[in-house]
Amino acid sequence: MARLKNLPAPAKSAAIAALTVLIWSVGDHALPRGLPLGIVLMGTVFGALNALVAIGIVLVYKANKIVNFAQAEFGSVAAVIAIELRLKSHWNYFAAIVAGLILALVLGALVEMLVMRRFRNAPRLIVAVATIGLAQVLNGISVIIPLKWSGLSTGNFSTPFETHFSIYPVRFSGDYVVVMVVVPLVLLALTWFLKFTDYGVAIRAAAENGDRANLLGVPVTRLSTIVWAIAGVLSALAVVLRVPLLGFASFTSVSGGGFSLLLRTLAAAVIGGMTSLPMTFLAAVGLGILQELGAWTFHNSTYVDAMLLFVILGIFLLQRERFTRASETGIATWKALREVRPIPSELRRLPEVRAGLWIGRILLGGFVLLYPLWAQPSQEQLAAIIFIYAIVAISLVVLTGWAGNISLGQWALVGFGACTTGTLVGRHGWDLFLAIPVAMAVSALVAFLIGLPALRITGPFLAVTTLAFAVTSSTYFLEDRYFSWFVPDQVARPALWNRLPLDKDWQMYFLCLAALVLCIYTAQRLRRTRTGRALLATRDNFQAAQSVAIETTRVKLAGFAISGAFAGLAGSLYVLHQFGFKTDSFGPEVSVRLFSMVVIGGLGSVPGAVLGAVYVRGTEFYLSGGYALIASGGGLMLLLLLLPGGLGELVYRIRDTLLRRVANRRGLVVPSLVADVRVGTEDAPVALGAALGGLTSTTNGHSNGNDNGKHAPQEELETVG
Amino acid sequence: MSVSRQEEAAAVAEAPHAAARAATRASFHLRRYLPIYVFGTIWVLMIGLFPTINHNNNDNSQVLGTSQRSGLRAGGDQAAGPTDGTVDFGAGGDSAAPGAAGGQDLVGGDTNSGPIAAPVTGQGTTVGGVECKPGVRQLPFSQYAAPCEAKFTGNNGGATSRGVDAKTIKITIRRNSDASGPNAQAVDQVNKQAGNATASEANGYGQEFIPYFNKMFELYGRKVVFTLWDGQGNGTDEAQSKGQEAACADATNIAQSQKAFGAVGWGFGYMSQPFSECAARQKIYVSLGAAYFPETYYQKWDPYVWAGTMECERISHDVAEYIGKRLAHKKAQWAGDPLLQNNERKFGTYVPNNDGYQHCVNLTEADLTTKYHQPKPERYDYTLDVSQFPTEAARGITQFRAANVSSIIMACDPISMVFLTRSAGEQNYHPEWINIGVAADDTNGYARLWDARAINGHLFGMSQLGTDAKVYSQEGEAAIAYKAATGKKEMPQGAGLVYYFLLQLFNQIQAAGPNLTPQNIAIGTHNMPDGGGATSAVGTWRFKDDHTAIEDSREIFWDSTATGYDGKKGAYVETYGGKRFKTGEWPQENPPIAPK
Repeated sequence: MARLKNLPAPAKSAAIAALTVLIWSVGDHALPRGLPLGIVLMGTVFGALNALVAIGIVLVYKANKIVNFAQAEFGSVAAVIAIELRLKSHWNYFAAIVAGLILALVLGALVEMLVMRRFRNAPRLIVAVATIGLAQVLNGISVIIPLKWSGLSTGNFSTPFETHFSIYPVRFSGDYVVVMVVVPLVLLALTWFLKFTDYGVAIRAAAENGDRANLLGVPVTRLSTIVWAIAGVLSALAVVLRVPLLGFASFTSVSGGGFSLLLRTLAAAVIGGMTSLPMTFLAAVGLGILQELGAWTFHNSTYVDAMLLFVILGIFLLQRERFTRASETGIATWKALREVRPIPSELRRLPEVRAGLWIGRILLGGFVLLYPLWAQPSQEQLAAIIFIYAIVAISLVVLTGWAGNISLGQWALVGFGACTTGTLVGRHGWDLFLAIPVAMAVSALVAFLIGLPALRITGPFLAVTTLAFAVTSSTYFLEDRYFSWFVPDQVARPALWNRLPLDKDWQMYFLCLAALVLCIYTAQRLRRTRTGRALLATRDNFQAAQSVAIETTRVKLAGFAISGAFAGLAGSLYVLHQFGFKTDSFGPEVSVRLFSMVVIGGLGSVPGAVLGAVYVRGTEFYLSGGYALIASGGGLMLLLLLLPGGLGELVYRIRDTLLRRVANRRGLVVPSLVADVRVGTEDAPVALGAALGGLTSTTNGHSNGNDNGKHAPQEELETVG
Repeated sequence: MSVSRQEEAAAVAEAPHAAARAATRASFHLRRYLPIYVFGTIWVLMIGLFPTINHNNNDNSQVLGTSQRSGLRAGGDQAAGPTDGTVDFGAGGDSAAPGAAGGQDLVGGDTNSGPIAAPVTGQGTTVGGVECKPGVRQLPFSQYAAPCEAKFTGNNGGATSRGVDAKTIKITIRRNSDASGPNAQAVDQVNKQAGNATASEANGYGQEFIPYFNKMFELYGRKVVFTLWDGQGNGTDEAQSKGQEAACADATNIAQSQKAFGAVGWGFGYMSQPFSECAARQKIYVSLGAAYFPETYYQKWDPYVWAGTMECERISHDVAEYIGKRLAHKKAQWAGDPLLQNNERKFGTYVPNNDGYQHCVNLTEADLTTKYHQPKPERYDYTLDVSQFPTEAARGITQFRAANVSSIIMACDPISMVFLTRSAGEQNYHPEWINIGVAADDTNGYARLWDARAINGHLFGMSQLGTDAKVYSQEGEAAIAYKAATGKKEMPQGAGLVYYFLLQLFNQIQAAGPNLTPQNIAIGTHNMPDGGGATSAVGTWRFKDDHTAIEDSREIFWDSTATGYDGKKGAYVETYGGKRFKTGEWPQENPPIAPK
């Protein structure tokens, strides 16, 4: 590799070409069905379409440090309007497309101005979660529009490019050629725009250092609007180029969104280091080719999904230097979260504060203990599920909140725990209390294995890896057709100690509650131990942690293993709760939803994460009729619009308000509480920054995400080591 | 008091000799990890002294109940003695249904004292005033209703089951939380386009039918009371076999809070797989549960989950027979491409990549190779994820075209067909499309959504559904019932299907006899005589040896010039005048079809 890098450009191109031909030739002979050129070209075209989405992700990330999960759906509303204009109003093809792209531009800008701008001070993870809600809303609108406009319709989106040619085994139309021409042109145009126009240079400047760009008079806010507008156009363009190739049905989403696409586009974006557009393009095309060759060879897409995890891991690990550099330049900081401060030491021991805490605990404890008295069995059942999710949320707090490793595949770890307990108890007649530790160990081991590459890759790179792990697990590892010895079907609940039956929902409720309390206690204790402090120190300042003799490698892996063990426990309870295992219940969407719930609750603290689980699943499970909308993507967006800091922040703000009153009444000066006092809008960032002594660097109210996760609590760093 | 590692090291270093150093180290270790050791010890003792072992668990073979299929003959003598340990039968007579109350787990309600009276079939006058004699059904104009019974008098046993008392049988209509969401609206649009009822309309028609069914069917002094309830389950998730948590909570609510005997879907239609399974665990009777699963699946959830559509193993064997006898080893004459037309048929199957469907397609392939000496068909296993349907279809078509597949077996959903046919057209690939009748592929409404270039002249195969013309006919039995129920002169088109949905439910409840339990529903249902027949509206209904109603298939082909029953262009046309064939009955000859 190093030798290749040192070659002059023509020799390098020749070497790459020769290598490609060699791989092709070997593959063509080695694979049972060969590597037909037509399939490679088909993969190139589909990959190029994905590249448009991936490039949109990169642009938004560069400008705002936001991973836009809604990128595939972002332009879908404008695109379906363009399609309807063409199909129903019989507009000229070019006019319809141009109208759609202009609309996408406008809608992209509007979304930024009306929605995303409200999140400018919110932690980046919160904003990423808001985009998950946005994706659901846009997807819903893009399905409803054609249904309302023209009813049920399917068919061809005819274009003027009707030429056809065949390359075995595919017959290509002119529309494929259009993709092959348009996407590289768009890439070149974007590159030119970013390199040679004032706005482009400003966008790159703002991406590199938003604060500095702001100080130099760069209109960062306006640039952000432009970037989102471009992202909208890219997304819409991907749709209007895709529909002529694959067809259109007014009752399905045109975006092609979903976790398969999300994984491929996000993977391409991170392989491009979230910065390089050409590399992102090449990665998307490469993954597209891999996808088509896999389907061609295996007659299905499952094995490709299974392979993707290893391909992505391989790329990340082989290109470790690139990704490490990217992390060092700030990419990893998209995890930025607001720290939850403990109750100030000046107030902690005051009788009214202690009484308040105890009253709160008693009320909460009384409520959960007495809940089954008035709850219906189905509500007890759902409450038990919420407890299980809360345990998984705690596992995410350990892994992401404390260890700083983002996981979009946590639910898959739950699946491994569920399978282990289900198989041991259901098939082999093991003691439940023996099976549970084994399940925890298995999940811990799997998490450990996932954690090994995490020693080299972080931030969004790890997020993609874990998302790939979630997809691979649900399509392969947790599928009983491939691992029937491991994946159970039905599992009856044993009586605890052969005395206490678990048949009733209230019995399961209390078992799950007990496990949750144990997990909360363990996690809180862990946080105070040396391991807990070391996790935080490693997360916040890797080099500093190493300099105080913390074995960062061991600490990181311990974070994964501990988190996996919690997830394994949750899985054990889940398989009992559901009387069995269903692979369909362990799809990647659950992991992403889980991640959302923990982020909006507060990843930094155990109570916050539990609160998030209770809120998200509670609204989904307990509200019906119109109120159920709260649980939808729209509801999630609305919540975050009202509370850009998430639920956790609201709760801690209320707590601090009460503490401030106590401090005022007692005439105590508590600096950490005073820092939270709101001041005039104009002065706010400066005042806040000054009050926090530089711990939070916000400038002009615009946080670029580089700052929020950087500061470890002083008291913790002092005690480490 | 926490001690840092350095302090520990210092303390160890200060110890005078090796033993002291080891003791100091051990004391620090114990102080740090003592809670873990204590916890571990307690845990081990707990496992040793008080084990938590499930002694009778075998996850893959767990069967909730096994209904007795023998021992009773339809309309004949009643066998004595318990069937599965929970149900007793009353004293004999010529009853076709179980008699005395058994050992059901009753929840509330009263149990009438005294012996339960036995129903009398084939004589007297029915509760609806029909003169009853052998061969007459409870609805005298119906080919599918249960055999008629004389009006029941005597003790019905009262609360024989949860949700049952002396006067009522509670059935919950479960409406999903996303019943008005975008996906549900899309499904409604598809139904409307096909001339069927939307879920909301179907619910309205059902409500019109209910008083009539309650009046006409022998419910042994009871009435079926339907209660609409908004559940938490998400229909879109459940359609993809997800959303089990909320589905199970809904089942629990229906069973334990509403204390209902059974449940039906919104619009009186089918329930999802996740809900059906949870319902079975909660001992809820589901007359129209998960569709198109193999019989082994229904046996696993016996006696709670039933279905109207044919179980997929039977479909698989029938498909193999249909292909083996009528299509295999012959030229693909209805393919659009001359190259394909002039060669012997080569088959390809497009099937979802999940367990149940794969199992059934494997059966077809095995039959084809062993019984009909046909090479194993090409196959593409697509991902059952709507967002991936377009790309998966393109891949499937590419593979079939490359393999020169002349005839594609449609073991897939109708939405995938939208993209498959479109992709085939784009590839200038014109194979025969062999419909096997699953997932409403054999309805005009969906077929009209497919690419006409691909299907016109090339689409034919089998259908298990009823014929629109007969189901929706104003002279058909559904219309007769509707008119009698409402006094109206015409039946709205969508009401026809709802009639058959309700008919299966009321048939089963009547067949169970006065001692209404899920077990007795199973016994009564398996002993019901066959309904319909080879030329009837929805074919032959037979539960003798399975849990699904439809037993036979008809042959259909697509005619783009034909007018459907809804007056729209494009419709499936039947061969042999709509005659249906059971397993083993398919004639060994060329299909007399003319796809256009």
